[in-house]
Amino acid sequence: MAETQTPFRKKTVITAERSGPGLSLVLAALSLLMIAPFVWMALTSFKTLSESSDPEWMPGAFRWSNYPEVFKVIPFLRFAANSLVMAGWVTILQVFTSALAAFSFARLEWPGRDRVFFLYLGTMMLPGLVTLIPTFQLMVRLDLVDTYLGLVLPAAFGAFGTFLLRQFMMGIPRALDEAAEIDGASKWQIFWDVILPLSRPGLVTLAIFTFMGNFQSFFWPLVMMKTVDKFPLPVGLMFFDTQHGQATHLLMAAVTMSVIPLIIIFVLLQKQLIRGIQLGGVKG
Amino acid sequence: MKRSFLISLALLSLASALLYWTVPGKRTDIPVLYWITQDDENKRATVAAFHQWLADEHLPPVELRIDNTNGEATKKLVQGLSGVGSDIMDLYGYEADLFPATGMILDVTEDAKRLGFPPAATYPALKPDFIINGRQYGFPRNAGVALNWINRGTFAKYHVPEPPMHWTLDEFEALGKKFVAAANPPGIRERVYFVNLVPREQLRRGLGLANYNETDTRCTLDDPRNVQILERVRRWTLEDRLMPSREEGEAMSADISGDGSMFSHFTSGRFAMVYVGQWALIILRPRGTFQLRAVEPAMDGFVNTDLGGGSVGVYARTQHRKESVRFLQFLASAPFNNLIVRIADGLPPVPKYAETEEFLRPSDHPNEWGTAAAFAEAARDTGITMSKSPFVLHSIFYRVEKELTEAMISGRMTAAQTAKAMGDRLNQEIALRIDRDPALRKLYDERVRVQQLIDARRAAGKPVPAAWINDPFHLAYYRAKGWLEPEARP
Amino acid sequence: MSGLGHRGSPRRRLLSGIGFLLPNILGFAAFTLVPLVMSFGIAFTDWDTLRHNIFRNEPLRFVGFENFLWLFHHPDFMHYLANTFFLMLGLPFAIAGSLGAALMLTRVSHRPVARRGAFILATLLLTGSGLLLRMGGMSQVGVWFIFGVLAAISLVTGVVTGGSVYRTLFYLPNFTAGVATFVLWKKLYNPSGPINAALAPVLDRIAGWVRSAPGVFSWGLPLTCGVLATALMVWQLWRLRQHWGDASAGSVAVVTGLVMLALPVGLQLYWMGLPALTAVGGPLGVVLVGAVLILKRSRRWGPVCARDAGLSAEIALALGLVPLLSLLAAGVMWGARLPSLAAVGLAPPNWLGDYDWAKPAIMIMGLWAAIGSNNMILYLAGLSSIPPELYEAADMDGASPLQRFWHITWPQLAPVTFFIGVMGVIYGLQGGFEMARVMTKGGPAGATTTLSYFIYIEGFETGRLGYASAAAWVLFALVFILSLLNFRFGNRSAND
Repeated sequence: MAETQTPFRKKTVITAERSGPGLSLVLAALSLLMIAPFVWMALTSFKTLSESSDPEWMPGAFRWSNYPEVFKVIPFLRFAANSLVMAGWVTILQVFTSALAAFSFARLEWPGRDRVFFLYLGTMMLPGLVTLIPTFQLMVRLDLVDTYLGLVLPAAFGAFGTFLLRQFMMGIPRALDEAAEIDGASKWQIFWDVILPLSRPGLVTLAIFTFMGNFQSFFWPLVMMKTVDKFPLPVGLMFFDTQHGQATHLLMAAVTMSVIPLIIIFVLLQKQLIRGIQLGGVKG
Repeated sequence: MKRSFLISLALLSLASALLYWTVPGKRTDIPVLYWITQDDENKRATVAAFHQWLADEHLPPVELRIDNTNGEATKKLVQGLSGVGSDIMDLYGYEADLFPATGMILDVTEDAKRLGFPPAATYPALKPDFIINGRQYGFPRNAGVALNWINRGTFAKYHVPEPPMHWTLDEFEALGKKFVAAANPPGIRERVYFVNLVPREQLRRGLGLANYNETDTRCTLDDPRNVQILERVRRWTLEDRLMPSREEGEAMSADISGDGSMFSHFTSGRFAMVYVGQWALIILRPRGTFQLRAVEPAMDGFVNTDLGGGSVGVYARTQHRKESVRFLQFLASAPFNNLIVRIADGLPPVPKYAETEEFLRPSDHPNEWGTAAAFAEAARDTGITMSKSPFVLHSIFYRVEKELTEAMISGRMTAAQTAKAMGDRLNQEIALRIDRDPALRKLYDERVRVQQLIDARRAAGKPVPAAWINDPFHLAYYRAKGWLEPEARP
Repeated sequence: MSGLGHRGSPRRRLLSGIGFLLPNILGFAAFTLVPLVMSFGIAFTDWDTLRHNIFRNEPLRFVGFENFLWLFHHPDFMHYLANTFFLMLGLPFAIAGSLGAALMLTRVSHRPVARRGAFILATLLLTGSGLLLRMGGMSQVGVWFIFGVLAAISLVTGVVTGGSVYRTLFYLPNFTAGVATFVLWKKLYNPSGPINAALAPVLDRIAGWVRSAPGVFSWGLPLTCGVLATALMVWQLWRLRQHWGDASAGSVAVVTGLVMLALPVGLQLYWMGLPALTAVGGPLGVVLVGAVLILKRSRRWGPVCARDAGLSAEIALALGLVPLLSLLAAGVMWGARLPSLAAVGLAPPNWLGDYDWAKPAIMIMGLWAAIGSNNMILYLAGLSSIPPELYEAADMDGASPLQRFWHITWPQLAPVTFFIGVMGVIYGLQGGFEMARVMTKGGPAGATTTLSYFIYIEGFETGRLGYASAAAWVLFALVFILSLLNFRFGNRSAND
């Protein structure tokens, strides 16, 4: 294994000169641009309904009551919990099975490997819409409609994770595998003890992507679920659309609240990502 | 890393178990019905009234729950067609003819006669909304007519006289130009408009032109009269700028992303008039007390207004047939109609309740007096439901008409080209559908034969039997012009 | 000789290979493959959910290629196809944006400083500003104040966390459920909404300048843009000729470069009034003929690899030139008309309601989302795995930062770029459905209807799922071809 340099030294090597305050200012300005719509969203969550359609950014008065009102209109905590748990399961399943499959594609050689891989890739190319109804009818036949399992299963097995992890794994030097093999390790041991730890940046990246993506999925849960108590959050947000308009101010309050758990999860996961990158396999 | 993996796995399992066990179970003692509709206070009041009515009528109790995941037909369609639909569903707009055509909606003709909510119980002009081929598939839960709401304060502000109840297109144009000139001095940033949109279908009907011919076998929008109307619309939008170009159509549909900005503009004075139904009161009332009036939309020729009902249907595969049908019976009952009157969610489905003092002059809202009468009168006298053809899905019609009109407004096509394109596209669509569906083709061939007979009679100046005409507009038009054969006395 | 398991019989290798694959492939087969195959079959039938469901169980009829033929007869099919491709033009921007963001984030990291003190400071700032806001009252000034405070807080937290807070801030757009983002932007793009309110005074100022010097703009602007554009094209052509001359970058580079040049030319022709197909087809046709000529040249092109500086530089240049030339073309087209527009006063456009501005509005939103997106994270991961020895060597040779990027960073990131490119094409061509459904309902007169929204309309609103499946498979074919090209070219190099 290559000698790990201390994290900070490694970073400062890439940045040849110390980044001055200029870059920080640029980044701060850019991040303002990125979060500007969110500022608008957060401010709107304090407005009254008629103010929420005005171009004025600031509300007339800060209506903190919008937030408790959200909880009256929809069972927000329940929806958020549904989303978090569903996304969590999908992520775990996806990461695990994709890691196994990616290992098979990246490291093992077996007849027909590349063709099967391209098949995998090919399945991503069809718009998901047209498989919606056949998948739905499959769910009906399996009696999985309106169940949590029915939400998790179709999303948990996809080609995307396999593709991503394969690219990551292909970047790991083969010398390590060969060394382990010489020591008599079985394929599983090579996978579990050598490749998997070294692919940590890839795994965490995939986890982040899958979690975020699944948290936001709207259309499939919309069609699958009937019981209101099982709805994930994006579908639950539809409750703010009444027949005569949209309760924008409440919707924005709900969305603002829904962002918070995601930020927490991201901050936690990205620490893993960085640590994994720093301690992980570096090209020797 | 493996440790965190295992920890998260454990946490997830725990959380899933919790979630699973806390899903409220169904109470097995009382049947539970699900009603797909909007979830707001009005609907909840309706549910409460339904429970109360069941108790008062000594009928077996039922729990009705609202399922608010509508907005477009996709979910209803996919679930319904696969056998897992909800018991009761609101049918908006084009769904009212689409869903029964798939077989998804229960035929309640017999129940209606037995329990007391036959077509005769509601406005006769609403029948095409829930009667298909003579069978009844639901019952309206309100009746809607759209008129021009006038913000008297806005007119007074710019010293422009208010429009009369009945006015022609030229009068509209003149008054409109006067208004926007007075309300938009040079340099003004936010333009003040006269009205948010004009109802193209109603204007066409004024000239005697409907979307289709008498038997709904051909789209007639390539008629020169449509060119006239489109040209007017184009001029009013682009040159006179009486109306904004984008919001056309959006205000009328139950669009889930429609925000209340049209009403904000109305109350703040950027629209002098808005063309919308009586349900506008639900939004306007909380926003303040405005001096309101309602007048007919301006039109030439045959005066007509757009009548529509939000109807409710029962899912064909429901587990609770009897109870769901009871809900339809409730819609024709006194408590429900009184509720509608009170919350002003359109007109009550049973016409006689629109003649009560409570409806016409609500004691709490003297600023609205006069408007309710206008709506009731319009529903009774001039309201006609929209023209629909069994050979064209209304969603397609709506999309094509809207897109082509928008293309014209953005300057890409002239009015004449637009009209021709509309006719071509929709007639192509008809050809497509009958090509694929043998049952529909049979119907089409029959109707085309009838159409030929109608044309022959019209050409010879002879009257036509009412039973030959399928389109509600043409029926009303022929009746008004005296072109129908006298109806047989019973 | 690489890869495990090259010993052992093919059968054993197959078994172990499939063994690892099994968990994934089982679920994949059940939930992805089966519906996929079903939908392929459906494309050749007349399946209409209105007639073939549990209530009206009519027999399904096999219609062969009829659905596909209808598709090409649909008057707007080409239009929707063009929309889909047009929205893909944002991909180079997205890649550049996320790469730029990742680069900046890597460079700004440094030692976290005095945590506790800084946190205390940040909290004080926050509460203090909250109090001030309360007292000061709400007004337009309040907004600037809020932004100022936010900037200060992010700077402070930046110092505290060693720059990693910017990562979270940039990634923020991804946190909102997709639908909520669309709703948010729809509100922002409201003609009387915040964006236009901010733009209006700026445009007024610009209109004032243009009015005061109409001649400059009506002649100067198109002229400058035209000269610049021509100069750039000439320069690029000269470079390509050089490559042809010394075969250093491979035939692919030359062809790509030419194709990229053809696109802005096509755009310009389209704006000048030619119908879309001719405008774009013409230059592309010329380029393809040229490509055939090039490839028929019986000259041995040297083996190339994406990590080779020359080729990747060409690709990057070509990608960068397309938007630049397009902007210059826009300048030529509308520079002349600017004074007459300004005379009436420039107003911010009615973004989502304007036929010409709807697509750019969508692309702007896409760019915002793309900068701090999954791609940025991928680039971050990729950047961190570049061996520092390469940079050290470059430093010893006295390379400038630009050279370091061009010759080291960019080629080393080739596998990541390849992945992002493939994914971008795949998802980009399939996308636009949720956006259209929530924001524009297909846009003013079909301007924002992409193929996937078209599939939705046909499949769900009219029930003609057979027809919609046919359209989906046509889309699939397109994506497949593009990905095949991308894959065959990139996979080789990413594997080195």
